[in-house]
Amino acid sequence: MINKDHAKLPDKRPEQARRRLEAIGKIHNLPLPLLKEGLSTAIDSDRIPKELHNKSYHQTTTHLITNESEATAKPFDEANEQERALIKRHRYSLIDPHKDRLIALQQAASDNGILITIPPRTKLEKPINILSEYDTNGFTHILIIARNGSEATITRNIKERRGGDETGLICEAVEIIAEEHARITYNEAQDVSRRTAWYSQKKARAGPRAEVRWYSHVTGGSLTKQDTTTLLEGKDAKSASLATMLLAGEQHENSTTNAHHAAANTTTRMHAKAIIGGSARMLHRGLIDISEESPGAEGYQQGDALLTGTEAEADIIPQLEIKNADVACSHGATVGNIEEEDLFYLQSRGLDEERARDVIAEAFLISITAHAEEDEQWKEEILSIIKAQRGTT
Amino acid sequence: MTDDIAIDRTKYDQASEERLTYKASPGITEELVRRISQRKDEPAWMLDLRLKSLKRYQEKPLPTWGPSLKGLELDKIHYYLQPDAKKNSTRWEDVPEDIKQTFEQLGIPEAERRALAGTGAQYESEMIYHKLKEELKKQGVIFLDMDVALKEQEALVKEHFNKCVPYNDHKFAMLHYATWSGGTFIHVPKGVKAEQPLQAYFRMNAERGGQFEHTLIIIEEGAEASYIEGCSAPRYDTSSLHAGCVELFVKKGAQLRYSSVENWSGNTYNLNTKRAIVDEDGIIEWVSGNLGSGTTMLYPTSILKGNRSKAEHLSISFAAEGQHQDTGAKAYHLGKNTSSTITAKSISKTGGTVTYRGVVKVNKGSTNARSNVECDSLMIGNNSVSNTIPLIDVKDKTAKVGHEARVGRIGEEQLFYLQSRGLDEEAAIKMIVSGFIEPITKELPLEYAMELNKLIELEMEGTIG
Repeated sequence: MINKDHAKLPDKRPEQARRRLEAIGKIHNLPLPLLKEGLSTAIDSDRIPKELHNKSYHQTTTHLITNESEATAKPFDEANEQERALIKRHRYSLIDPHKDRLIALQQAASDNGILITIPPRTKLEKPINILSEYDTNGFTHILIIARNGSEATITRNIKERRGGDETGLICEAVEIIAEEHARITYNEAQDVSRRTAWYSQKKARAGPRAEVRWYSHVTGGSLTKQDTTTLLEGKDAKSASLATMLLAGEQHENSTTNAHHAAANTTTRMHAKAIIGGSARMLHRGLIDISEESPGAEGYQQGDALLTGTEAEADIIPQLEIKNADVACSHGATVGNIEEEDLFYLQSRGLDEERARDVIAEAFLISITAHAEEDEQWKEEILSIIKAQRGTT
Repeated sequence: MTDDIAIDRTKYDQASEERLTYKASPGITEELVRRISQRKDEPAWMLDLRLKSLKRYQEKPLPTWGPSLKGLELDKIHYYLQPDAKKNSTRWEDVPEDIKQTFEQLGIPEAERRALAGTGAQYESEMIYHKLKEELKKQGVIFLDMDVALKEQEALVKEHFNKCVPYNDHKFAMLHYATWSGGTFIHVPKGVKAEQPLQAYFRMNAERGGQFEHTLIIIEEGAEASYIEGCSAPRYDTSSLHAGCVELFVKKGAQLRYSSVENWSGNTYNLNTKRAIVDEDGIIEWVSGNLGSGTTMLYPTSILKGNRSKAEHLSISFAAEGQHQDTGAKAYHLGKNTSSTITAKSISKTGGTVTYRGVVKVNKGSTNARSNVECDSLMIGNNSVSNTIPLIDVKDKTAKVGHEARVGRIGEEQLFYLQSRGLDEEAAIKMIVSGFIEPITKELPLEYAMELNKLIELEMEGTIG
């Protein structure tokens, strides 16, 4: 039950409590997230548990952090005074907590989060790994601050421990601040229960010459709603948003990736690839927005869907909004199915049909690594995520 | 080189003196709608449809998506204007001198002299000049003003009118069905192949005028035809409205090419609805050029109803300062083994906004659908905006749909190459632009290709410095 008492429960800090109270007051006036665009396939918003306030939000979420570097990666409630000031300054500095009902709920109910700070000019050799395990419902905030000239990779696995039939709700927020010349790679693999609605807001700000790279792999969730946004605010900033999705059964997925170019010579690469089986549905929108202040910008956007289920549906809206003529932008989208010829070829090499379909599907997802060719470590991370999750389904 | 292609924009922008026998007071009322119907001596079912549409129109709010329609003062538009000329003359000499001059300036009789199969011209709300080549007449091709068709071919009209674009489709379709006047009616009988294109020209002259022509084309089984229309309006300080409607029926194994060059003046709101229903093995081809007009919302739509039906869309949109061209194409795949190809090119110049808004939809059970969409945008100068909003919605796993788009500016290398061959920068840019639009111009009859090229050249003038 989420109420005023709940605000006091998890931690006793007055600042936190005040914020919660404010958020709780506003939740019910805010709209649910938008899951439909124009004439597109309807994504079922009934899958968001209706009576948000009647649910139990005493979560037992555990975050297992593996960090062998000089960077800081710790839960908010273990932060020292200096770190608390950082959290206060940057938490929800990019994401608007009043955007919709779920992000407001996330703000109101999240009891803890993880702060990662990479000191100036520090290049981490090994990734920081986080295993987030949820029970039924959960709310998490990840705040990453990469100081000038630093470099780091964060790889996160999201799982759910419980079984059973109860419908759950997980809301997450990820904010990344990449200062001048910093480079942050954030990888995420989501494999929660197929009865849980998973909602994730991700937003990054890239300063001059900074680079932000996102990779997300989704296999779980009855409903997945994911928005990934990069603000390219510094000159020569770069971003990459890669996503793979493996949907089956009756899963619904709605995701958007956005890049807002607000400075000169900024570049964006976006690519989403989805395999959609059973009667699963996907609605994906990509947006590259190039402002008047960003001459010399370059953008690339691609969305591909492979429909393998007879009742599967896909909607792709690759959108460009360009307000500067000094630009080179392209986008593309494809929707198709497994080619009979490819199947025949593999079967003629001795694979049975099922195995042949698997090989083709895996190759389809793995080809996303073409965007990570120049970085062996990132490529390996992506490959291991796809392979690990393919193994479990 | 620029000399022989220089044209005078004033010939489009200049208004002729108003000589009307009937000019409705601004705004739309039930009385006006009854009056239009009465003047046209229409059958009761048409009046019923008009009134039904008016009612829905008055209840329906303005669309909330797309470009702003704020400047559109719907209460100040004259919804019906009847020029002082004999309707549907078949002799060019009968057309009053000033109207004739306008059309001559626009090149209509020239076009006919080049032996286009038939020509119709609409001035304000009525069709005033109409001619169809003898041979086609003998083959049974009907090419009429829509008002006349309603009298002479009532059964055919009733069977198809309002069946492709329903009156309650959207706010401006409702307005159109309440106030429609004139337009083109074409019926090509079974198996007849009209080799030369039929054409019509629409011109809005009066200030704060509204033009709501209705075009209905029926191509019967195995028949073939090509129709082309041009549109223009003079420039006033107040806004005018064009809300036409085009319904195309392409029957089994038939083929239709529908081409249009729309060049309304800079303060026209061009809110047009164009749609085709294509039966088995039928082919629809759209060739469109959208220049002029302040705000355009136009998305030609192909409904691929029959198995193995095909659609091809080819378009160019051009927006200069203060213009918003919100155009695109839609293809709905309903039959089996259907295919659509959409090629959309756009140019946005200093302060202009172009938006490509498209839909490709494949229904469940529409097996083996194929669709390919290509958008290509060229941006020139500062403050220009280019948006691309395609929606791909696939509900059948046997479909193959692809979309590709590029946005960029004129390449330095291309410019340098042409300049090194002795062209100045402006001439070089013009040459690159005409190369960019060539895939469209080469599909148009010569005069229209020339007109399109000249108009774009004219718009490009003064791009440098």
